[in-house]
Amino acid sequence: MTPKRHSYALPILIVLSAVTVVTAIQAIFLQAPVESTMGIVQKIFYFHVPAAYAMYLGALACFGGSVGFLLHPSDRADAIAKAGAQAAVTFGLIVLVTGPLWAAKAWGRYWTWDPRLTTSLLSVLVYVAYTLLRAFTGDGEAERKFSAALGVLGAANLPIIHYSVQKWSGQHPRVISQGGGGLAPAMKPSLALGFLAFTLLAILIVWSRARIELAAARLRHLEEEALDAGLGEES
Amino acid sequence: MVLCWLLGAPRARRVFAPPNDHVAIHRDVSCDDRGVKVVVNETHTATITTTARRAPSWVAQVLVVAGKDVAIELATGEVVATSGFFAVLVVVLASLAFYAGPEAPERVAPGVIWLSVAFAAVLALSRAWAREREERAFEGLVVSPISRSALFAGKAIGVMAFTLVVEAMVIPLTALLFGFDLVKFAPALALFAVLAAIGIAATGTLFGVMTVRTRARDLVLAAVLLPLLAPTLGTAVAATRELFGGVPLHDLGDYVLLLLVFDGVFVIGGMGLFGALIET
Repeated sequence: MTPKRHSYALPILIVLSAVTVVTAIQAIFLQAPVESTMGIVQKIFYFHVPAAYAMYLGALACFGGSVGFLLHPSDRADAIAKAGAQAAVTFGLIVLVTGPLWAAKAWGRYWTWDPRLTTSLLSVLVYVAYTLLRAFTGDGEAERKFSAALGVLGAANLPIIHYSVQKWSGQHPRVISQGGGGLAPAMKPSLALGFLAFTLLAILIVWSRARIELAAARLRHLEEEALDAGLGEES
Repeated sequence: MVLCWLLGAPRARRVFAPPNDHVAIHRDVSCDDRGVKVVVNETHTATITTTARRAPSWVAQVLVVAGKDVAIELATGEVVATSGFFAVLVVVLASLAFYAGPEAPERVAPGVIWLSVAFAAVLALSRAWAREREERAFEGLVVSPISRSALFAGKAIGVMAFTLVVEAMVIPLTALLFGFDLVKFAPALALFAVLAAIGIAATGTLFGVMTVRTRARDLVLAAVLLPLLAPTLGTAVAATRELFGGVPLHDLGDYVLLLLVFDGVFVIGGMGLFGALIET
């Protein structure tokens, strides 16, 4: 496993993400019109919805990495799964902070047991459990396998959770899904930029976290080899 | 006799009895000059006749594993007594904390039932798997000629039995404390109880083995299990609430279907993943 020496992909992605995020912020706050009833609070929408989407991108990476690891155990698959779960937790927290702020203005209360809210909350909890498991049980082969099982089963549950919570109780605005009320045309470019920015950010976070995990795994292997060769002492 | 067969222990001994071995020893003996016998040449011929035995069927393997757990529990009563009492405590404390006047049976009782079942089930699971950790008992199970899926199903049936016993304690007690009509709701509640127990047992078995195979212990197990079980429990609570609100069982088909789908995901996932997870 030799690292590619001349790969400019990551630096390019970093620059691209930075430019898109700045452009998106500029478009959201300076170009998109201020909504008539919600006022400035409506700007949360441009961050909240793309963050929810980015959370599921992280969950998807975690699922893919976990399936890959269960089929062919490798450091790379495990690193992608772990990085995906961490990205899902990060974006999930953004969703869970911005959502109630929006709700406080729009519905007069911070939380309701609306299907989408419940689904997001339960999904975030699964990925928090995943990161807890990884943080406090070590990085052995067995721990990785159990995490992968959680990554697969947690994601397999998501679509059913989404359906089931609709059955349980439902006032979440359907702005962009089918049957939604719609968005003023002037707001659409800003939202599109928001989606692009969060997509790039999600890829960037998963990629860089996976690189760190891979480097840590490589370091562990090197340490083991060194110990086997009689170099150094076990600390 | 039937109980013995169900518990599987004597059957297990018969099935896995060692093959008949014949060992023949030939000695050439001579005497030295002081008249002491000395063995000059000794050959051992060992004939091991292995009678071809039919491997026990998958169901028999499952019953052996489940029977083992039930037999231990019948001898000690530990898991059911401790987690059952814990569940009773949760019900009593929740009744104290949440009793909300005459509307409480319909609104609060479903949550009390399933929350106490969930907490007690996680406790029961921890204990059931701690037994496998003691004296490295689980390694004995893994090296025995039992298929991985049968091992999973057997352990899950054992856990399911514990969960059902806990549910059988919790539901009547909640009926008593909140005053809902137990006889009227019994068939529907029994159905929900069995469906929820399947999901709890399958997930709990898949991740319970984690406490044997990794450094993770009870707290991490609870942290992993409860988010995974949240949808099953939420569905059970919603179904029970509708039931108490006067909706007949045949109109609750969607909830039953949902519980079945969650059970299906966990049972199929568990059967498929268990083998890979317990390999070292």
